Amino acid sequence: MSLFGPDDAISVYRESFDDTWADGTPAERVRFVVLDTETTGLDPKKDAIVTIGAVTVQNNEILLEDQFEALLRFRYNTSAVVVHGITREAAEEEGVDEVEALRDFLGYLRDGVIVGHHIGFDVEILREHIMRRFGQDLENRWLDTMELTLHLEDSGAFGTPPDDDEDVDERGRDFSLDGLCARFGIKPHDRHTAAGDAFITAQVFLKLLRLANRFGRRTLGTLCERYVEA
Amino acid sequence: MKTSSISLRVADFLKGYPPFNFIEEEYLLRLAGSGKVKFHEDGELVFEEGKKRDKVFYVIQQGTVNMYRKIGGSEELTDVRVEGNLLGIFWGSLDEHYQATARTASETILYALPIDQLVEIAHKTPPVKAFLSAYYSPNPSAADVSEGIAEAPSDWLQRTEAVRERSNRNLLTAHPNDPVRKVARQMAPGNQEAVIVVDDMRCPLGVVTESDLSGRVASGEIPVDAPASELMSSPVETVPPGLNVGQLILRMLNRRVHHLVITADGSANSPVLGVVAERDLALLHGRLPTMLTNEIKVARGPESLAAARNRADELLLHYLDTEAPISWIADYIAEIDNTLTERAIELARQKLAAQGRRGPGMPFCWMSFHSEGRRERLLRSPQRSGIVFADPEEGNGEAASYYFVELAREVSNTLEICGFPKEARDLRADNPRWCRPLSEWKEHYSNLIANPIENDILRQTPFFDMRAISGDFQLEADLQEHIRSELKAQPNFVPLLANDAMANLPPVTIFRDSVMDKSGILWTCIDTKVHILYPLVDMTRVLALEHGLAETASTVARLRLLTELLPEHAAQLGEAIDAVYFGLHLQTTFGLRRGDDGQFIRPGDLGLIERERIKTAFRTVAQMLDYTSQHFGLKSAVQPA
Repeated sequence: MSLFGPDDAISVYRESFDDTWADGTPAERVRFVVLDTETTGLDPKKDAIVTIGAVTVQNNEILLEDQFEALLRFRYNTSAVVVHGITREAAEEEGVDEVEALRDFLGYLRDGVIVGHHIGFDVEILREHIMRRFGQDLENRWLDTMELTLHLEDSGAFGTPPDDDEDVDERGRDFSLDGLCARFGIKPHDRHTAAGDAFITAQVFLKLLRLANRFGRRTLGTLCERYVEA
Repeated sequence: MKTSSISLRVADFLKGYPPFNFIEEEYLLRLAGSGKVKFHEDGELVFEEGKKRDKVFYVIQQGTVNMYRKIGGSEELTDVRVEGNLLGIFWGSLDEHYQATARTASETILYALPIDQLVEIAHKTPPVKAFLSAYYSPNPSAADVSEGIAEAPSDWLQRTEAVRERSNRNLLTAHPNDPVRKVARQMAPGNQEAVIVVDDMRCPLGVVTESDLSGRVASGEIPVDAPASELMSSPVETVPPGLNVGQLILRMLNRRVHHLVITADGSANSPVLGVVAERDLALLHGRLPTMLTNEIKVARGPESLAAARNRADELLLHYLDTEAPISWIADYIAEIDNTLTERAIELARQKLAAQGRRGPGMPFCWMSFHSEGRRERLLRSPQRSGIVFADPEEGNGEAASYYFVELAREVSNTLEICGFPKEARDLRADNPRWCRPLSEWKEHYSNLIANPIENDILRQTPFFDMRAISGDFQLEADLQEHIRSELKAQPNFVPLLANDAMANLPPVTIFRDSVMDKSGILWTCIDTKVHILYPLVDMTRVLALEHGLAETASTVARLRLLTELLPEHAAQLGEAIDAVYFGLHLQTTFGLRRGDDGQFIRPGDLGLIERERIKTAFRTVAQMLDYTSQHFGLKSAVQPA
């Protein structure tokens, strides 16, 4: 991604934070990077990243020109193969080395605000591997669409909050990515590829941004607010 | 852009809709990868009439968008666009401002794609250009449309390179004085099944085939030392270079030959360049209609004829599926049915002969009327036929008439077994009224043309769609000449026919799942015959008769000739040709799919392209009506659209 050669990707990444978004930056100015990773398992320290897929959202639009996708070489197959369907042999043939992939990724990511559904784990494993490879922390802010959805639910964006004691419509509390797709009428085409999930999440995110705007969350700070169950 | 997984997903969606289905993968991926995705809630403005255009156009991925135009003081809803439709494109227009306002009517996801790229693609991809100029332009252009959608070519029919390659590789030539023995040796090594006998200038004189060798030489009929000229079939059918597979097949069907010789200028007086055998074409494409005509030609009885004709429908379905041009398909079916009728006549003659009944010894011609007469009968519809025979000598007429009616009865029975129904009071050659000597046929037409009202002319139009099928074509040609001179003598006839041709008015548009007519009434079905084909066929016939084109029966052939005579109306006539082909295609596709005559179609059963094309066809019909009424000074039947 870098114009100055691969080694400069890290410094481009680092320098992008010199003048970055503040809490008060209006949402439409922020460059959001909606991303998803597929991994060999759920332990950020032991498991490997298999794929990274990402696409940019800015000014309430998904920018298809600004997307990223990488398939990484990894060492062991695990049971997660059945979810993402990528075997070690396949990655060996078509993939790139992790160092190269992560360097390109940082060059693409820059100071973009990372967005994803249950994004915490993706951020953790990326941070772990980036630290290991480059001694560089993952400095980006991040926003969990799950948390934003719960905030909006509390504000009544999805109608009256259901009473926990009573039987509620299944869909009323289904805030999984599939549940949100169903709620917003987005067709969940090829889930469980990193790029596919990132693109679907980006579409969900466009809708959430609209709702958030209506319910008073118009700045980066208010959008990224962590959700603590009452 | 790093990689294209997301672009691939967007491209996959776009591919489901025109014009994106015509775009090459590489361009489509680039287009998809350069776009943006936008989300709108219900009731939001996408763009506004009079405002300057963006550099993007939109494709609706999900949702509904209403289009409004300012008319008088108010804003009127002019169109409703849904998933897969385009917004914000006005092909060929230099106006840099939006011509309408687009406002969402539900939550909507739009792809915004760069217009520059689409323009660039359209100039490289004719069907894309045709689609845009037909449906998203201020002035739909017939010329662009015709090279586009209706005629989206079936790939294998359009191939020329493969034919060229094979035809050259197979070229073997011999001198007329070469002994047969030498010719046989040439053919032996393998694939080549024919040797072209050429003169010193390499112009073709004849062809010697494997079957000539096995049939006539091996049987001892011709000695191996005889010159090739004695064995060869002559003359040969020649074609110019560069014909595609579809054209070659039609030529073989039409001339009833298995080999075509390619020469420099297409005539037998220029040097041989190559030879195409039926077998070569079969190797390029497994199933060939020529094989079917062979089967028909040797069929021993009505049942085997019927079986062959059923297979023709299977091929028809296959060709429709592969989007072969409907013009080609119509010709193909006409050739099959010609061969079939010819064989049915031959079988009838043999049967009568076996009963000891001989023909009266005078030439006759089997004729077809109505849609078969126009080479537009794609689905098997009722028989409409006639026999004209040379005027008999005094006192011989009755016996002749009796024989031909008997012959026609046999033929008609066979055709019925082959799936062409008989209708009780119909125009058919086994009815003595329509099995007559030339002079009586002439009388019939004279009477028809002189007294149209008494003859209820509206019901007699099939008589003007007449075609010779088998026998002595000169008889039919004489009859046509007679019709032409009668028409000239009765100048009031054609305007009267024109007036009757105005009987069928097309609907205005398709609205949701209904068809709307001029008075705003909604109907549940489109009538392919009454709404599209009949008015075009009728008006074309009127114009053709008026311009002295009585002998040409095919609607499209008539329109083509009219285009030459009326170059100032070329565009409109071209649109009419498209509409006829489209109407036939629609009727045939639905008819075969449902096993009926394809007359009534529910708008809900139509695809997006078909819906748009039907609207275009309605407009074309309305324009033709308008032109015809003005031309004949009739009271205008329709207001200009």
